[in-house]
Amino acid sequence: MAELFTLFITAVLINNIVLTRFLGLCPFMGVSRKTSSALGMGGAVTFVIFGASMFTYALYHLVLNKYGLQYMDLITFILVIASFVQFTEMIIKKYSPALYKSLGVFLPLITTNCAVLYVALDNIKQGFDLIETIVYSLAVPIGFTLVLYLFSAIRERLDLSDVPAPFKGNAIAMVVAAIMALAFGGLAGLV
Amino acid sequence: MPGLLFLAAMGGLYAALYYFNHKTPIPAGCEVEEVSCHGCSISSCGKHPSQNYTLEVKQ
Repeated sequence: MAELFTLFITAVLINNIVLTRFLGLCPFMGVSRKTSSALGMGGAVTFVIFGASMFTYALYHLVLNKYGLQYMDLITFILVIASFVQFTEMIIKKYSPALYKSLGVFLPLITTNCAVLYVALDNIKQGFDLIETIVYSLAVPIGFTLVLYLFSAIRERLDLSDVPAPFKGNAIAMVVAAIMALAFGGLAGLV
Repeated sequence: MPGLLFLAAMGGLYAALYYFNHKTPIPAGCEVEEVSCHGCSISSCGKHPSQNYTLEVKQ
């Protein structure tokens, strides 16, 4: 239990997918102007990463590993993630228009999010069992959502601040992201 | 050979899901609105806000 908790905290804070691993930067920069859209994106990413990780984990251990096709993990996982996002969008369109209205626009963006593929591959590379995969696959997108929300809150305030003209927009956002990365780097000795 | 067949099956699965998703109608009231550009990393895009800023500086 302690190991699972350590794994969770490590994935959320210390080895944060955005500020430490520098993955998922496209949605991090592009969907962080408002806290509402940041939360929506975070929720969608959480769902896709968890679902795709479960599918890819099962596929790897039940098919690829069993038939000696481990070398095909990369291309297979890409196709699984893309298929899962298409399936999810289709189900949401049909059965939950309200959910589609809030999250639907984000789903195509998540298909190409490298963080999703990273989690799927890392579950295999780290040799996690099923429980560890579940914990890790939940912790990483929770860390992503946390950082995205914090970043969006800062950017909302920056938009109202007197930022020098050359730094307006993405430039000051990059500076803020760098400072946040330094701050999260200070958590390295926590666990 | 088994790898190619498996890859073809996965590709076919994706194609089928893409097709069915494309055929599924968007719910009423959820039509995608044109998102106003806030500026991404592609600064060479004609819609990038920095384009207007560059023109102002040159003038």
